[in-house]
Amino acid sequence: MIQTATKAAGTQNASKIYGSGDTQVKALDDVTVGFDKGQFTAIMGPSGSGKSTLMHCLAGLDRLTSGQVTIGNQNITELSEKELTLLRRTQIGFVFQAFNLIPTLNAEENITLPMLLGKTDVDTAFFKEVVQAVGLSDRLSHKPAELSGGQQQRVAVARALASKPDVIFADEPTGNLDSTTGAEILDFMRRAVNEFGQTIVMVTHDPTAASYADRVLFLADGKIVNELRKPSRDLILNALAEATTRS
Amino acid sequence: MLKLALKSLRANALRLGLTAFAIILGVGFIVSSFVLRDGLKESFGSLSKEIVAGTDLGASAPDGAAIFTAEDLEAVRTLDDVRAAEPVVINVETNINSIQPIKADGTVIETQGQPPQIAFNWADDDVLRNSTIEQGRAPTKEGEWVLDSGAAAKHKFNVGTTYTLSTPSGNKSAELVGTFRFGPDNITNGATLMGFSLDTVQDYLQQTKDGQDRYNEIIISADANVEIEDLRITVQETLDASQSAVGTQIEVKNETDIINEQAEEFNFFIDIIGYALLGFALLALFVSIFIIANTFAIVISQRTRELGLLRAVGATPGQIRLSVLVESLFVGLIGSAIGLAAGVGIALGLKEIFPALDFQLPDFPIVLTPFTISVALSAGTVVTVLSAFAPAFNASRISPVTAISGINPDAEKKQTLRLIIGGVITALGIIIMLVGLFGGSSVLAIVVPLAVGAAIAFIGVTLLSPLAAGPLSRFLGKPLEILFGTAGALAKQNAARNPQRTASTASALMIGLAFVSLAAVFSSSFKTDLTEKFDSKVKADYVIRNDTAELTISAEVSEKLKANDSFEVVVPFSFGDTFLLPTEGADETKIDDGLYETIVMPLDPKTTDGILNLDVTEGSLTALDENTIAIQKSVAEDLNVGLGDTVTISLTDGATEELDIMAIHDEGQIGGNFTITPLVVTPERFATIADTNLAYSIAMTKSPAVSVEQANADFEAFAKEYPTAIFESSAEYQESIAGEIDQFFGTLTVLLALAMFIALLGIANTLTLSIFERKREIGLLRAVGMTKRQTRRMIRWEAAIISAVGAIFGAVIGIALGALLVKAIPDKFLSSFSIPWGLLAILVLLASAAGLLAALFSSFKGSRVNVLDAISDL
Repeated sequence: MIQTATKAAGTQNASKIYGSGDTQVKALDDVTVGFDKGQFTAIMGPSGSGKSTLMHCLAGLDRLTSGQVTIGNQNITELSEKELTLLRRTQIGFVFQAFNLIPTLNAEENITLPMLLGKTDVDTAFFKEVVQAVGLSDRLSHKPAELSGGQQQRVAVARALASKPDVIFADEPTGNLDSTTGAEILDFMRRAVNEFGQTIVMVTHDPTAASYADRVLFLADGKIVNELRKPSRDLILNALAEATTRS
Repeated sequence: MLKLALKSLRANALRLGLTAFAIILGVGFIVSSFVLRDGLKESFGSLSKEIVAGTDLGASAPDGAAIFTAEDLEAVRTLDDVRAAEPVVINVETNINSIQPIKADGTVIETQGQPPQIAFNWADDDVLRNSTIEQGRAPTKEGEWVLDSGAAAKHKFNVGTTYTLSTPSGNKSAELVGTFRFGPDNITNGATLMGFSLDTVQDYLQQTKDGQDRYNEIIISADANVEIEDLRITVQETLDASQSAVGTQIEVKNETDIINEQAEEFNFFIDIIGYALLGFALLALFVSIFIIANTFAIVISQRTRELGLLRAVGATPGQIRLSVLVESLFVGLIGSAIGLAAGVGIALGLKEIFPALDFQLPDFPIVLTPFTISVALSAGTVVTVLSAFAPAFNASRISPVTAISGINPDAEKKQTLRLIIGGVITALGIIIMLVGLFGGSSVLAIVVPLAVGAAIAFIGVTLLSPLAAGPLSRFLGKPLEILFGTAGALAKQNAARNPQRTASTASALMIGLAFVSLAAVFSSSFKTDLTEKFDSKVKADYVIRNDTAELTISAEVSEKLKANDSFEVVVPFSFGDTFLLPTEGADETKIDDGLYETIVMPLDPKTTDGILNLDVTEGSLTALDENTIAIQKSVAEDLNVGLGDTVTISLTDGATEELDIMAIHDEGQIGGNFTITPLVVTPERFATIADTNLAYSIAMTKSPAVSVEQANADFEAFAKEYPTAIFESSAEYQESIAGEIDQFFGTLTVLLALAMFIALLGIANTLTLSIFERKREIGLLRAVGMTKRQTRRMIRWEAAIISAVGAIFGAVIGIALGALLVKAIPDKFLSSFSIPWGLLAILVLLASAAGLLAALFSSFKGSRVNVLDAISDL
């Protein structure tokens, strides 16, 4: 049983099966995992290991074949499509690899988008704090096309933070950035965990990115095969190589 | 490259289906207009043959006037080689519908928009008569009539019953003594045919003059083996010799010529219907151009990467261009072929719809000529390929590098050049329109430049409209932001993000709305013109009129009204054709055969003073008498005469009379059934100039001595007695002409609905394509918490904004075109300009609502965008 009081999100016996019969693929195979509040977790694994599927199911973007997903202390497995949408709006933040922003909205509108969609009030003080932290104060009225790739990604992180979600899911957030800009973003995510107590779950294949995390999970063939705490980049590389040979 | 084009076609079946749909509709309506026209022509062609069957030669005046006397007939009858000659008295060329039977229940057969009611003499000669009694017997004397069996059955007239007939000589009682069939099968195309003895119909139609019989035609059956052309010449000479009145012309024609002439007359009206339908079909096809061009443009911008890759692996710009054009060729061909089939279906549908629009059409066969087929296929294909030209050219300019490095659907293109070209094209279109409107001397010389100019101007405006589309979208979207929050704001932003696309998507609707608005402005101006002129010029309490512009109201009506105490001043409106002799310095171009043809009306200024308030620029009407005349300004200019000069007018007895000009009056006073003609004389003088004592309207005032109730009751009694005429109060009259104009506007709008339907289809199409383009954006929105409902709302309202932009542009252009048209129409026909703001506002709202509806499918599709697919698709 997951101890819901201290977990921001988690799964219990989560399985995800695509197709049927001979062509059946088990993307997730009875995965039970919990993500502590205020923790920065990285999920790694070779392609096809199920790391993206796990994240999509955790985030309510995809449904499990069997098992449970919990966000906060709510079991989201039985939620309707609409309830899932509202859950994503209020309790989950997203940072994708690219195309994180709506081109017709300016930076400020993009950051507050989930709240605007829900017509809920923006916590102005917190908004200012976040914007200050990502260093976007003077870029708020800019459209995405007028921002650099790093700035765009910072807006995306700010959006994920601004609604104070239970958990932020980041899918290769630095995949499209050069290493310096990428490091900036990861630094910032780290600070969000340290300073705001934010829970972050990040899918990545980059050991350097993963080394910013408190905990790294390794997936292979839909199963969690390894777990490291506060690992160095080298440790991660080794574990990753091991996970890759397994599959 | 051909293979590639075909593959691309197959891969995008839905998108091309939508594109082809516009072509199918456009071509379908072209085909249906041709099918309808050809079918009607065939139907009326066989009728023409039947009407003339049995006649070898026919003599008539060009205008169908009753000019032949008993002596003329006798002269022809005594000619060698003439087996039989019969006089024809018939009210088909003039005074159509002037004899109408009144049904047992006191009502009459409807005339408005319906086939005519025709009365003629029952000829003695079996061959020339061409009609056969089916039930009862032939009419032999006054008080008897026969009716064609079709009309008798349809309108329930029974043989043996005595009916009241409304005639130019007043109401008459006559027994229906028989029914007959016309030709072999009584094919009348819905007309009502009535036969009378010769004396009776002449008496009813008042076609006796100075105690002499008058006939409209003389028809001749020749002896066997006679050279018809020789006889024709002999008859022509004989009749010319016995006729002497000024301006009289007689034409003697053989059977073929008469049939052709008859058919031509029918064809004239059929062509009007055909051209009107064709006009709307062409408009639909024109609108399709914008939609197809837009679809191809979007599709190509979406395929930028694919095309760039092709370029990178070695395709030349020419090959890219060709592949797009080949694709369009196939879409055009397939769409046209389906449109051809659809056209036949539409023609069948129109056959059903027209009667519902109060527009009677006879039964007609479906005629699909090779001409129709070739026009349909080529029009549809050419339009499609033409529409794909600009997109194909743009596609060929895609560079391999930029194409592979990524797509940006909102890429800012160079606008300046586009705007300059747009401005130049718009100006060119307007100039062509102005040349047609103000310089055209014939209908064709006005309509063709107008249509071409309008088409060019529309293309120009479409190029210019992105300039305003962005700000307008933002303005229109403002309320949505407040109403629907972020979904509304995004709808607004999406409509404004690519003004070029919004403008080209809206352009189709813009054109449709422009024409509807033009019709609305025109109708409104016309309505204002007619009612205001009537209101200010005619101080009548009651009016009586008919629904044609023919003289059908007998003098009996006005005589009885004058004798009734309830009515004070009774002014019958009548008119007749006449000739003036040319004067020194007259405009030669207006003189035909040495005569100036014009129209005259009777007016007694002594009695009409106070009821008719006419504008006289020079002189005065009050002293008008038998030796004087009032003429319109334009006549004075044409003939180079002025106040106090003399004009010479032709009389019906063949003589001429000199009349002094007492007054010169303004053009275009009143209109409709109360038109003031170019010449005005006293009723006494009118009787010597025109052959009629019939009216087509009567205006009158209530006597102050009687109560309103009394006058109304008397008026009602008259209305009952003369059911063929329309009896109305002055206010009712103004309402009903306004109603007629509204109905005309309604019919026009129904026909324009086709173009607007295609336009909405285009909006739906563009939106569906845009959603495909913005899949990832929608996926992102859904991921961060936009509900399906919010997504649908966002897409629907984007469509509504685009539609509103198109509708507003259209309304503005419609108003401008309306102003231009009203300005170009001479003041005598139309001098008021009125903008129906309320109606236009409703139209814009309706168009926007239609946009919401058009986006139903797209919004559904948009809300179903798979979030996972969308966000992982890179």
